[in-house]
Amino acid sequence: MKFSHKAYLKPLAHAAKYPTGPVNGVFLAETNSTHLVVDAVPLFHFWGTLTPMLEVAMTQVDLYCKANGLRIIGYYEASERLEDVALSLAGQKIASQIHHVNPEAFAVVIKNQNINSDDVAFLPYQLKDGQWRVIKEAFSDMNAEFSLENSSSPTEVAKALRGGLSEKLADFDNHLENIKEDWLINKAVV
Amino acid sequence: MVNAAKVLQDLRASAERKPDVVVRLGKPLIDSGAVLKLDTDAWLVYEQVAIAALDIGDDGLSLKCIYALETKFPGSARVRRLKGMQLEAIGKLAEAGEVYKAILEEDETNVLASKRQVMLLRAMGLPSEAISALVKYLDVNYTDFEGWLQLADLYLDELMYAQAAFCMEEVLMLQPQNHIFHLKYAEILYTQDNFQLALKQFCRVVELCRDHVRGLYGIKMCASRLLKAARSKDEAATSQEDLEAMDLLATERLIALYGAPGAAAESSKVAATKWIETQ
Repeated sequence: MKFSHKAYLKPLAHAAKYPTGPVNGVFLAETNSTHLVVDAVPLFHFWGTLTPMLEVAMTQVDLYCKANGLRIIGYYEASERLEDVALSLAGQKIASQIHHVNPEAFAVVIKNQNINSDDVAFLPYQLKDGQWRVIKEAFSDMNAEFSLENSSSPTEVAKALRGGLSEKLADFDNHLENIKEDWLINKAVV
Repeated sequence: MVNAAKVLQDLRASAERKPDVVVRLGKPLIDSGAVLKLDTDAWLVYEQVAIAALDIGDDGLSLKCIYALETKFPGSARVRRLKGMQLEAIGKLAEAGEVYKAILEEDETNVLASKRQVMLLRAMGLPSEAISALVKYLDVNYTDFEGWLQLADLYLDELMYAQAAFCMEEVLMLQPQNHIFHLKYAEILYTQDNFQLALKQFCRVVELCRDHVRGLYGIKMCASRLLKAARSKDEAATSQEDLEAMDLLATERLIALYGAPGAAAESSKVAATKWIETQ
């Protein structure tokens, strides 16, 4: 899986916007391509273990995808705890459901400590033998399975976040509070 | 200076967590000494800035505030708990625990220390212990709705929905007019597949806060699930006619809200409208 700049930027901006709580969202790819993750859609920053709005969001992302030649290819989350990189229980359930529809689906946990650095802040997981397992050495020369389209994405994103970019990001929770929030595209951020 | 003090005061009243704003406004007041002109409020500002400084990682500023408070209020448990928080912030969890334990040994009813101890256990990755400690606290302080809210969250972290629902019931007994608490309860009930009761709670949300989008979505989700399911034999269950009426009402309001000119981005509007059609 190769992550476009947008697909790298949005999850980190989401995590940076809500440093005191967990956040999650999904990754999108084009229907025809198999390995380029073109975008991400931020979903929630509170009540992440509750289902009704998750169902609404996933259906609406799906409808958006179908209208734009895209599909849901993965899930991301960030923990409120700085060093925690485990895929949460709720996260495993959501990622498993995505995987059920799309066997290529993966999950990413954001490495909070790497957000403001030149290092890649994504820790990918894949479903193997019914368990979500960390992919070691991802984004390195030793493992080409996960990579960035633009190797300077981490540095550029860190700079943009220091400039206050995360304030402009809208997730589905924001949208439910104010339907003007552009959660599916987030034009203001990209 | 008056404006900064007013903003800080408003943030204290609303209890919003905006540490960047607090530090940006409070630091100059404190560094210049102007904070002392606020008389008794000065110490509230010191406390507020101390906590905000911990949030954004400015340990020096936090210690400066705590020192000022220690000087003014020597031996105060309220200030010692701030010291405990500072220790937590720099990762010295065991030492922080000692501070809270000492406060509670002197006064086992100290609310601030009790609460910090619960959150410390959580920070240490000990959720069961945090839950036990909070349950014990609530046995005594059962009217503390914030405590019940926090306990609900601790249970939700462990996906213990039934227990979280019980906590929300306690919260609602204490704060029945708060539509957000009804909303949270509704969503927990939905997660437990209790669509009947969830529907009632989502309706209450919209009743308390007209055109609440999240509440309207909730009504549609519940109504459509109940309409698709087998008719309930329970006499107290909502009738098919009422379900259809509620679904229609929620649909109409959502379409009106999304359809208003400039109300939503094109992509959001298209997705929402299509969602409404296909439910």
